[in-house]
Amino acid sequence: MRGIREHELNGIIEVNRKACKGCDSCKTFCPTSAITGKYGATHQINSEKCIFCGQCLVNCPFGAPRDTVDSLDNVISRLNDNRATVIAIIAPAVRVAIAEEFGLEPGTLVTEKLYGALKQAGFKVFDNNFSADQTIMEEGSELIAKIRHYMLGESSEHHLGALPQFTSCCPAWIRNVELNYPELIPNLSSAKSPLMMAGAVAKTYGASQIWAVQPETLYVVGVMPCTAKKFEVSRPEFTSAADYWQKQGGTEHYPDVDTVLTTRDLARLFRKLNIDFNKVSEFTDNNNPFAQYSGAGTIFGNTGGVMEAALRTAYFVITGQELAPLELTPIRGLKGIKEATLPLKDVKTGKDITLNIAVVHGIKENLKPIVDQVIAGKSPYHFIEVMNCPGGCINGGGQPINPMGTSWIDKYKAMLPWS
Amino acid sequence: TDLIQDRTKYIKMRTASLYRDDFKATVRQSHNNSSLNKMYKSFAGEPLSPLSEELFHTKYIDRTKLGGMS
Repeated sequence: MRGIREHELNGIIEVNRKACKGCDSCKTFCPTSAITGKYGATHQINSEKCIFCGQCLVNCPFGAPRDTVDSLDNVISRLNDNRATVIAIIAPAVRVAIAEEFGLEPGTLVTEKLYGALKQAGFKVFDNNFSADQTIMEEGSELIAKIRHYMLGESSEHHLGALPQFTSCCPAWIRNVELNYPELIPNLSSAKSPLMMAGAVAKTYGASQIWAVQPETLYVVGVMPCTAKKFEVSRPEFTSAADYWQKQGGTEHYPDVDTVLTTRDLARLFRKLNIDFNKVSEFTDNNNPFAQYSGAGTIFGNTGGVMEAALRTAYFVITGQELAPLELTPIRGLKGIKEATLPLKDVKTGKDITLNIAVVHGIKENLKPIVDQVIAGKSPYHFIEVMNCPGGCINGGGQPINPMGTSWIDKYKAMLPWS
Repeated sequence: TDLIQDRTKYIKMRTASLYRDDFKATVRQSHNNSSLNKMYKSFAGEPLSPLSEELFHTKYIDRTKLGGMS
């Protein structure tokens, strides 16, 4: 099996042969042409090409593609094990979709209800939005170091990658680069994704200074709108916390994030523990340091959100003033490729800089021109946000499957006898 | 009736809701998250510090050069 290392999860998405009608709807969404099978015949997913994004899964009118990774029983057994402290790292996009699993409208914002349901189930909350802010600090600092070096000619003691810098929080996009565009690896931000930063923080700072528990007794669960996150947490290099403690005499081996539940999985868990999401009491968790996040962190779930959050901070660091207005409308919305330019006056040197940025999502149709430009060395951009899924993480492969989204045309066509 | 139903309607509804969560937030920039700044002050130092590089940064691999497994 090419393209997969030992211990990395594989074959996360598979087609249920009995349910597949061969209607080809999934092929129109697969960004890496990983699905084979003629029209009308049962389709199959080639794991060597699959980036585990799950877009086939959320768009199939027949629910044929399935998420084969189910860690519900593992999580429940840890919740019942009083020696374990179980942490739920909740992604921004979960809070605007999980309500659909309980009969409410898409976009119903249920953050406090979600905190309450998680508390009732026995989790401690670590909001991934806290780590989204952290990703902005790490990734923004990296971008600014490159700007000061490549555009203002200052030397830098950091090992700097190339411009344009690509965002690195989408694990399907990362696997896509590693499989199909390895020459772009120097352009990827070295910053981990918010989930992987959260895992590292939880099992170091969290364990020692917040919860006062042994790090190896923590069981960290990512709650994500995404199936590719299940692959990301299995990457062998993500053991930074265990490596950190080993330098201080620790002997335990464990990953930074133990497992991932999708939004759908979490809803299943609540039902299994018969927690009635609509009746659960709200919990604001005000004095939890990991439930504090900014508006910039929460919009990570939208396409253009990471870029807008990064520019709000980069603008402040370079100019010394807060960006106003904060809403960068040119990079909001569902247009496939969005661009903007941001004039900045460097408060240290007085020099004027113009930052050119781009945002691309739904990369099956929209990625190629951007990537070809970068590979040819002709890209006008300094910073490019890439999200695999159309709309960004709010439409990820782990989100509730919304009947509005699946194609009734393909379903209707498939019902007709093959002519 | 919208015969060709708008398949992106549910996406727009989720998107708008996250922008509302931002709009009503008292703090709207990552560098003003005081709890995050406390983590840096009492643990990691600052972004791109040696400890931050070790814990919060990573590398990638060229999977076209990965041989077949097993």
